[in-house]
Amino acid sequence: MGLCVLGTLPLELVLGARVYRQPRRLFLAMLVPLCVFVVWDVLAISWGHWTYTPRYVSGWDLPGSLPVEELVFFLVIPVCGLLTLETVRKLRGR
Amino acid sequence: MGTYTLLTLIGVVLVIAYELVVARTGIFRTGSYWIAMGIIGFFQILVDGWLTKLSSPIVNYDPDSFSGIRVFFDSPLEDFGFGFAMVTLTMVMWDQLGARFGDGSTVSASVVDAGETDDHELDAARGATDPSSGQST
Repeated sequence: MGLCVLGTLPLELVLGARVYRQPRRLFLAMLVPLCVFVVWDVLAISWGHWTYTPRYVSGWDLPGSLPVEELVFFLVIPVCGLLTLETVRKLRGR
Repeated sequence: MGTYTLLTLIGVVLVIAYELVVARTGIFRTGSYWIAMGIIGFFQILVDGWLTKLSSPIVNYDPDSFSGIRVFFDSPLEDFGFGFAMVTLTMVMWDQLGARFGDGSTVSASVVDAGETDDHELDAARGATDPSSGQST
């Protein structure tokens, strides 16, 4: 996840995606998807759809047996997606 | 076919319906969206593959809950529906919020742009300010 953040940082800093520079819009855009997909993840964990190999996760769980890594995933990936979209738009003249 | 398969289908349909019926940002008609999704899809293959590769999986899937179809580096096919729904919903909401909370570059750029996305971007700006569509959630 750290690599995803670092790898997409130039999109904001060099190519001018202007995603991090609109923090209010970014926060609000992520709020609903974050809640929806965290709930999905918690349900999937409780129903046994997937499990995490203990030695590859920190062992720090949030309520609902949600590994802290999953929350990081739900924060990082949508931001990377928005950075990609805004960069493509910018390069194509929107 | 299992419950993860079913949830994925429901999730994808709901996100598409949200865009087409409620948000109506027009994002599916823009080339930039599909190009971005292609790039994101490529990186999902790598990241998801690293999480799911059967040689040393970080995430283990219950065989009865998904379709059993694994693609690329052993990623369950459903993961791509999950990713599509999550990223698309975020983008749609981002565009909905653009007119009100954007830094101005989104709307002003679309107004002066004479390219193929012009009308759709204007639709997006309208959709975000139109109380009948933007506020209904």
